[in-house]
Amino acid sequence: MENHLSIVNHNTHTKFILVYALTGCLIPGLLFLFGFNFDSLHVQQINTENLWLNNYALALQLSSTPIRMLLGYTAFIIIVFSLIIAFIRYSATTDITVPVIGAAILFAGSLDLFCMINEARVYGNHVNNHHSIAYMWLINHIASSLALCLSTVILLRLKHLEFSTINKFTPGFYLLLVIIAYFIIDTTISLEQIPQTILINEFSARPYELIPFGIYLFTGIYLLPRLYQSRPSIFSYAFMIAMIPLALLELHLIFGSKALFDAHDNVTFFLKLIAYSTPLVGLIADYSRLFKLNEKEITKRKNAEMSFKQIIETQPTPLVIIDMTGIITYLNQDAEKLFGYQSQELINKPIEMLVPSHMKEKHVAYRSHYCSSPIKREMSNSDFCAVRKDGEEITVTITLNPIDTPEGLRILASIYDLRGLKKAEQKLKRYTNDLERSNSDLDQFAYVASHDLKAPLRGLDQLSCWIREDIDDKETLIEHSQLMQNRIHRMERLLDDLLAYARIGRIEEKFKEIDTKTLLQDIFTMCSPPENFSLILSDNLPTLLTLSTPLAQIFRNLLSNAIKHHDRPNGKVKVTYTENDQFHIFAVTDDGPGIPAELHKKAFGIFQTLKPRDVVEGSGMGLAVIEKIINTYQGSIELTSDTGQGACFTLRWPKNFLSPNKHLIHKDPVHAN
Amino acid sequence: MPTEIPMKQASLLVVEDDDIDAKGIERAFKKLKVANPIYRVKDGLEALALLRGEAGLTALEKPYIILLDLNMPRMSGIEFLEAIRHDSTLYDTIVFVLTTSKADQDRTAAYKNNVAGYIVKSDVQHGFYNVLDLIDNYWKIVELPT
Repeated sequence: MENHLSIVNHNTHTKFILVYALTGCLIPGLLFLFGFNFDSLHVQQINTENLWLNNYALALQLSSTPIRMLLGYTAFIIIVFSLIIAFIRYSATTDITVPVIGAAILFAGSLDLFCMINEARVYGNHVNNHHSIAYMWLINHIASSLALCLSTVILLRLKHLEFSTINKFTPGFYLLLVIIAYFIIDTTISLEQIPQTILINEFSARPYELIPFGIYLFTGIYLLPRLYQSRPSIFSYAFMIAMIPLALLELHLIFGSKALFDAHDNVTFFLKLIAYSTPLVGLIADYSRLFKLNEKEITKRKNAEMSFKQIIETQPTPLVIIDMTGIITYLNQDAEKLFGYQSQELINKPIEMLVPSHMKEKHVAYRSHYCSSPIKREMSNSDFCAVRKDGEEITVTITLNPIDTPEGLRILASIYDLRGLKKAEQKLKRYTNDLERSNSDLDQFAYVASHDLKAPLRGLDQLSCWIREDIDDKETLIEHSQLMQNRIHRMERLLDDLLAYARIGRIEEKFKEIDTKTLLQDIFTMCSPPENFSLILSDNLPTLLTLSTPLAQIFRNLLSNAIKHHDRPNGKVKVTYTENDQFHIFAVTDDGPGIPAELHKKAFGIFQTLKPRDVVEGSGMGLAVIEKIINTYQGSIELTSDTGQGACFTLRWPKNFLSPNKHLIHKDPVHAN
Repeated sequence: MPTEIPMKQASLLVVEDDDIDAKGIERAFKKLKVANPIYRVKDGLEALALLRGEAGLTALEKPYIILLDLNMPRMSGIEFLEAIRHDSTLYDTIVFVLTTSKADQDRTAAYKNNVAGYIVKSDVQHGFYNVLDLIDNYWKIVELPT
């Protein structure tokens, strides 16, 4: 990836490097055109006509020798500086071009350095030996060019060379190279017999310089392009380009220079500076590229972070992010709402703040276990709870997701509040129950409609038939017509009761203050009981603010049943009262024939009678109506009785009501309206 | 042809809670001049008591045919059928169902309990004459369990 990137981005920088090197090569020529003479051998003739220009030329001329020195030393410093930068830059990418070629350049630079020093020494000893200096530089050039060539060959040959293995030996090896360079130059200068390498009046004054020229040419044209292909980097490219000033330098020496310190000889120092600074320019260009890339990367990251925050914030799920030590680093608005905290109250606090106290210890253990190997996981224990600021415990399911953030690994916890689900579940259950009941009611209704409602009609049909048959028998006629009337009344009653039954719970009942004692007394009287039939009411029967109509209906049905089904005219019905937190409890007990245990369940069905209607007239709806009222208002009724033991109905009438649409009805009459 | 040994006369037990229907059956009986004895009870429990001779009653002697209504207080016709089919002495009783119910569930339940016939009251023309005629013919032709 990194490699690929650097190839792509090379284009602009490679051009820049090339332009730098070529311009650098042309500068001496241009300077010469402007009157700068690199020659430090001859003082030009004084031109009296233009004294100012003359002095200027003289100054320039005199400055050329120190410039030669200055350029030489600068070149060496640049080499060291380039190497440091190159190492810093490429140690990250482990590009072995840097240490290997670096060694060659350092070697070349050291040779130059020692040549410069020896040049000064030669002058200092007044040993005016042109040969020794020229020879020294020739050896220098050959050794440098060979070192560069050799290092390139090594890189091309040893393709599997590891950066790390080389890196270990680098400092020692570099020191060794510097020492070798010193010895080469020192040996060269100390030779007894120094061969003459400058041939004056020949076509080429320094023909031996052809050797390093050839090596540079071969390295620059043949070896380095291959190296650049196999190990593309700005450093290797710049190194390849650096061969141009080096080759040019040799050309100056071969064809230009006639003697030491002449213009061409001095120009070589300038070209060397250009050659050695080319890799540095390349490195600086590379750095600027990296810097720009980095800036882009930072902007990109910032944008990514922004959109990440936006995503988290706009999620309809409560989300909390914690770090690997369980500290909350972020939470979204939904989480604030769910837990009832402000964001700043939770940030930088341990996640255990949201865990109920009895689970805290366990949670810490779970969390540290999870953080040791975080994977996507769901915590959906049925009794998994979180705790709100106000102390309310809420059942939740939590999904954990490890996420990579610029700050490191974090855990994203998505929290699902199960309260809503639970409520919905309860609601659904209630609706299902209602629906089931309503369906079974309908079934029952269809059945009884085809049965109990039809029976009186059939009776009428038969009776009318018999009237026709017995038209002459007046006595039976009267009997039959009476029976007809009875059937018609029965039919009416069945229909009325059925309608009343169907209406239960469909009407919004009103709260009214009622004295249950008076109510029971009134109902008893209205049932027109036999003369000796008595109602016994306990003293503690309360006055209630309650839904009066359904309660009165229940009392009416219970009392009328007690009277109607009693087998003696002197029966007794007793009503007693107790209460608990939720219910008013009324017990209606009679001393009648009782109901056999096996018929208790049946007794509460629609149109269920204990005796044939012809014996005891009744719709068989009384208890069915009571049961439906009780179901509607969430009370209960219990029958304890057996044959011959009387019957006791225990009614639990709620103190607080749920309306038919299951909202809590307030006991305040104003609200009830 | 040998003289027929006079069989003990079969009786008819009417299990019916509705007085008018019971009366109608009686009328039809009279009209057809059937001499067989006829008994009436008002629900399944009473019928069981009579058949078993419980609650101070003398058990009804075989042979008999039962004419059974389904919709009755305390013990319905179907419950009564289930009771006698599981009873070691009453299991083979011939039962005709005579009911107002046209409900499939009732008819299925009745035949499941091996009734001899399922008759819907409103389908019967001329009172119950046809039904009683059927029963009269039935016990003339069919050998009843004894």
